[in-house]
Amino acid sequence: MMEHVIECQNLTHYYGDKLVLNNLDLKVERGRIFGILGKNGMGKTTTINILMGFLRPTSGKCLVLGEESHKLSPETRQKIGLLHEGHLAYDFMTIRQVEKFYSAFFPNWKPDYYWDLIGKLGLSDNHKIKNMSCGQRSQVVLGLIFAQDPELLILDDYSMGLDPGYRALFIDYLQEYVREKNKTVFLTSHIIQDVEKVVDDTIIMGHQKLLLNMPLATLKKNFHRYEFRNAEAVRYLKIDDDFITNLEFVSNKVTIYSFKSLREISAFLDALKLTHDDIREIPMSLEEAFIGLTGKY
Amino acid sequence: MLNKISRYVIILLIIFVAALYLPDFYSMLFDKKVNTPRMDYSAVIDDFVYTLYQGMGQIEYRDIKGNEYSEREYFALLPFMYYATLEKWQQLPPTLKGVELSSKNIRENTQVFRIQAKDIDFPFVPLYLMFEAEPDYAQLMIPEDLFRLGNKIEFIDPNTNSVIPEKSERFQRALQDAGFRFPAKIIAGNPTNRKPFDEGYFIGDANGNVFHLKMIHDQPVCIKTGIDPALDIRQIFVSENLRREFYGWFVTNDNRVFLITYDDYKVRELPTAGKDEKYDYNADKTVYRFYTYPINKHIFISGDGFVRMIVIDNDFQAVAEHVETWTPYDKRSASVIKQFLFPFELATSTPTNFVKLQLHHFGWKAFAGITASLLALFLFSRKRPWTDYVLVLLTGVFGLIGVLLIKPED
Amino acid sequence: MLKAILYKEWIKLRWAVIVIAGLSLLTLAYSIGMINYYIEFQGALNNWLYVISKSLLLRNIVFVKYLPLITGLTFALLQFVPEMSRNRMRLSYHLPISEKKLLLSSVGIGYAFLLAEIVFLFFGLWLVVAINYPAEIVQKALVSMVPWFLGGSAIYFLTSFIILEPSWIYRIIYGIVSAGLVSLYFQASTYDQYQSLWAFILIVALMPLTILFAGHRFRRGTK
Repeated sequence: MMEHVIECQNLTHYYGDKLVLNNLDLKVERGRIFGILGKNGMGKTTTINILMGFLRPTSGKCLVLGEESHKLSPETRQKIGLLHEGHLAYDFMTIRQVEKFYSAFFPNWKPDYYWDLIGKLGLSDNHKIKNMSCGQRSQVVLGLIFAQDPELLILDDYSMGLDPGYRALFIDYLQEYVREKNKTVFLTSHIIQDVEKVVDDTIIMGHQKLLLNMPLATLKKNFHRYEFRNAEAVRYLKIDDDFITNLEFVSNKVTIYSFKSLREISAFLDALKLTHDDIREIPMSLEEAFIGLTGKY
Repeated sequence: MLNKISRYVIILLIIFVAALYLPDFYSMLFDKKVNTPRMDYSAVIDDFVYTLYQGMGQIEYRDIKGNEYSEREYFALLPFMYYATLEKWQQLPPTLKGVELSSKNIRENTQVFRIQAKDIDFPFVPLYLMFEAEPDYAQLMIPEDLFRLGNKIEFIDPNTNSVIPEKSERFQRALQDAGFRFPAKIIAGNPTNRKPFDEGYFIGDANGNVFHLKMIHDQPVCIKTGIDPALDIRQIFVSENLRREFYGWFVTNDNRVFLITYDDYKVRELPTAGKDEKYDYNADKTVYRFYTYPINKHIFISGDGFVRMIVIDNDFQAVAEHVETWTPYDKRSASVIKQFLFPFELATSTPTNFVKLQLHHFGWKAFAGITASLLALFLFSRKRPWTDYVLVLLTGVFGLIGVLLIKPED
Repeated sequence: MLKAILYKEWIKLRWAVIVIAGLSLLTLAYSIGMINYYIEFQGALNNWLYVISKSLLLRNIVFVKYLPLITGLTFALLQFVPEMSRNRMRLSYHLPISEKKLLLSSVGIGYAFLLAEIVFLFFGLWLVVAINYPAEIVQKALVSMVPWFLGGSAIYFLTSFIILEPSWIYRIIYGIVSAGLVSLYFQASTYDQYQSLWAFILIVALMPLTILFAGHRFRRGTK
């Protein structure tokens, strides 16, 4: 058994002159739920497209289930359940037709998973996918992926267009299915609180760089927000990769996001001869941490 | 591999379309119309004359010695052509060289025909009409049936869409009795009642013999003409004309033209080949026109860049001959540049009214365009598979367009 | 798997197949009506003469000329526009089947339906013409229809190809080339004018291969 289900090295991609991925490395271990988080436009979908062979990276390479991603064999594709961005589906088909169509391609087809999920929608089998809401369609697509019984699930921005109810539902089903059957999942999202409960490993992508590569628990524990008042600070402080991950100024209030402890930050500010007598840590929710990390803009 | 092949299929289709349309488009933009002289022969001054369109509605009238004429003078030189106008102007002299120059006499002693490639070879439905040659009425009546003639002759009744056995047998027997060998190779006649009388059909049989088949009082009349099979006839034309000098004419496979005379089907050869074979008649490339007038017969052989005019007297003896030339199409500057630019061109239209894909290649001149194309590919886009270069080497600018438009994908 | 692809293409095409079959029947009915009208109106002999010398039959069966063209275009649009809108083709390319097999079988299935319509028209027309006209005319009429059928086939393959191509610039280039190619099959004004059809058949036979390159470009994410 191979160690990693997905393994990417030095992945770099340009759209024309625009750099989207800069030397991205990532590894997904078997049986783990791996999330790529990041605001829109940070290269999440680009990464998925490369993984699925819809895009050839400018440089670097990816192995998916041991095969080079730009030439996945049909046998390997059979083992990968793919949720396309926007819950893409053959919307000219009905609920029944789409199941019949897909079942022919997968030897381990488990129709029960599909019909269980569909049953909860309360729609007729002859309902066309075209006439469904985005949430209903997401259930159909998820049902198809479950029934396919793949080794690896790749879910591209599953939350897009879903209202909170369906988002929660989606995550509930996913979690139950994955834990029960020990699947590997690779998902992207721009909403962190949903995935908090399910992902084991996360990377957070920022503009042209990897912001974070660690379990969310570590993020929660080690990422801090500090506040103090100093009107001069705006001239001396700037974002670096070491002490100051992110920085905000509102009139004379300074907010620093950092992986360093209060003592370390204090020493850092001392060195810059910036007074910070009133510095204190403000606790953050995960979402606030995510925004702190990726920036508000 | 298949993806590469697929790309080349697309490029081939582009080359194909480019070779079909670009050279034509180029000619349309750059080729200038050449005004060609309209030749004639004047029995008044016994010399060749011509008109030349000079643009802006100006027409020049000259003889080949260089004398210039006014329009009225020129018309007067050609009474057999312009007798009606001359008569209106009251300038038609009563006689010329002892021949009466009345409208009636000229009209009755004039006969014209033209042979083009599309008259020899053309799409047609092989069904024919057999007229009653000696009708009880003032004019020819359209018959009530059609016939086919292949391995046998059969008359078909359109009302029932079935063969008329009795009549078919009668004609079959008549053909066989005359020594006709099936299948028929050439069938020539005029299926129209807009003619003064009917001469039926001239039919070439399997052995190359020509038979004359017509229907008189509902009975077949079939005569073996005695025309030499060795002449190797390509196509026969029949023309019912009240002059009754000849039944028609035929073209042979070696580009000779003969009249079939009323004198017991004896043939009279018309001039086709001359001193310079460049100006010989070629059934596929030139047009043959024949005019017989009260004095002399005129023959025009016109092709790309020339018209050759031959005058013979009414005993078929040579009177005069003249060749007028101008720059042929492939020597004109636009065309020469075209031959350097494009290695070949494709065409689907033919001079014979058929649609057929044809390739015209321009020979060594294409080297220039191909070299330039290879150079351009090298300069604009270096990283190319060798097959792209081979394609451009073979197809020049067409291939260049194709490979530049459709870039390789790895 | 082939059966599943057939199933999917059938879902997309079934209404069109039925409508076109109806139009084929109407076309045949129109042809019968026109032929009978002219025979009645002109008399059988005169009608035959018009049919022979003025290509009247081609005008009587004029819908046979354009129906394969309309069918080819409709089938290609119905099959591949839904696949390409919102990049839905990704769904198909992720199926565990090689993309070449997928593309060629999709086009093959669509073409099989088109061919069925063509064969139906061909034999229908054969029957209609053979009742009223002698073998010479029947043969000429049938041979005259072949370029039209090739033209319908060409437009099917080329439209599929253009839709499957991801880039609009390429689509425009292909569109121009396709117009030049398809018009080749509609040059005749009288019977049996194509002296040799082999080159024209070969060109159509090459066309299905073009879609592989378009599919490959899509797969590579070419914009």
